[in-house]
Amino acid sequence: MVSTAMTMSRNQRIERLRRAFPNEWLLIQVDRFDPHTTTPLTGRLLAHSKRPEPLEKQAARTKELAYLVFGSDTLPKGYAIAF
Amino acid sequence: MPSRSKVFSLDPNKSLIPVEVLLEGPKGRLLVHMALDTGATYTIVPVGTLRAIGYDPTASAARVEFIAAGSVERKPVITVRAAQAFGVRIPRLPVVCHDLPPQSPVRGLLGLNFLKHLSLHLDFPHRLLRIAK
Repeated sequence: MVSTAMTMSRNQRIERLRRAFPNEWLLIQVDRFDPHTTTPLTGRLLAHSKRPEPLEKQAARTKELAYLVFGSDTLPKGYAIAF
Repeated sequence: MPSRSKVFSLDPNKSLIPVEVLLEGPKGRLLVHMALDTGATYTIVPVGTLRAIGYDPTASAARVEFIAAGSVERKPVITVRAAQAFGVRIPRLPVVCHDLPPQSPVRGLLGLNFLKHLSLHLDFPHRLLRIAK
């Protein structure tokens, strides 16, 4: 299920948006971007979801630069990574 | 170390090394949260992300035998218009189309075919990642 953000007009720091949804994927319209480090600085939350796929479909319809990110870099408890 | 190096913070307590990757395609750009992976031959991008920037992985004739943990699968290879990370833009980067498991907190892997263009220094004791091109 995708939840459309209710705070479309509000720019916030990316880290603050991520902290608000630590267990979901976020699609953020990037407002300030540092091209020298490829780092998004601030943005507006467009939508959030437990799955990334619906957000990618929404990103395809977004004209501005969009950022797809999970709310946290922490793995679920008991998980480790070997890609 | 070359004088044009850039320094990023590196958290040794994280389970992976996160990196923001700006992918460019025929229908637009998408900034994606990925993991830096020196063990990946190619940069890995999921189907949905490639479709979002205008590519159809199923139509790609190029394939590669992709050796993942526990399996070998034939996967499409798409050459994206450009990929940018750490402020470095690499035009026409081949990427392997592969979906990571749903538990993954990243949406792709920045692999050696991008990293080989950089001087990369992972300084875990000082919590710093230094990049130079």
